[in-house]
Amino acid sequence: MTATPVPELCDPGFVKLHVPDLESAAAFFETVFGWSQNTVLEMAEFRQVAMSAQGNPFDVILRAWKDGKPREIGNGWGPLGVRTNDLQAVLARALDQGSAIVREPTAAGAVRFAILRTPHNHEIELIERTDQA
Amino acid sequence: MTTAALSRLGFFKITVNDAAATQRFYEQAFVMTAGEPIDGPGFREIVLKTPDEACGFVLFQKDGLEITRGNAYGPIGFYVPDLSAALARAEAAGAKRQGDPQRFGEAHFVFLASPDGHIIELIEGME
Repeated sequence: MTATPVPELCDPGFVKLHVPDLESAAAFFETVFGWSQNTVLEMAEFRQVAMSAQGNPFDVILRAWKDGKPREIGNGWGPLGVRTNDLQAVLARALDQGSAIVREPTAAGAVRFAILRTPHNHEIELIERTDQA
Repeated sequence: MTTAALSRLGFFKITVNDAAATQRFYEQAFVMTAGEPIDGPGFREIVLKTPDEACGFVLFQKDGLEITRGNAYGPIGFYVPDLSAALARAEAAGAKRQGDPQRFGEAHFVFLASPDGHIIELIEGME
């Protein structure tokens, strides 16, 4: 097999987060970010659901394995960066839904950001531009 | 409680041993483009974006860090119009195939390990 000389478009389409409880994880992303549940896949080994933001082709896929194995976060991934136009409101909802603050809201140039840890232990960085109306 | 705020995924971050090498891989394999490296004390970050800049990811390199990937993230999924071509290009750029391509319904997919060890899934037929 040889590589093609003119590459076609390849879009990153998703990143997967492995969670112990699919329903509560999906509810978290729905409630905090307003994302909707898209494709659901039920297999013998796992269940998964794609969480989509309106107008964004890039999904977060939540997968819950049925083997009950513990999930280890490691240090090779994260955080997920979520751009928002209202950091304070999103952060308040995330805390209300069981998140913990890793980094308090911080101004940095044209943005303000905060880092939180979801109830399922994944880190999310919230970013709000402060130089746009 | 309101959900009026608009929130969308903008990026995700992966930790790698050699951000420059990983940058070259994604440029060659997936036609992603990189911004200027952000160098700080003991770390380097490189932002990779898709041609339409809809979403990107950040390569994070921290001096002396032993990377443990755990099992709570991944793979990174790429939707491709031609699985064989994308697979060939990724392998030419240094990816290692994790098994043979498989079919599931209309989807044709294969898993790869990038040179830095993160798992990538190529999927044709999902768009």
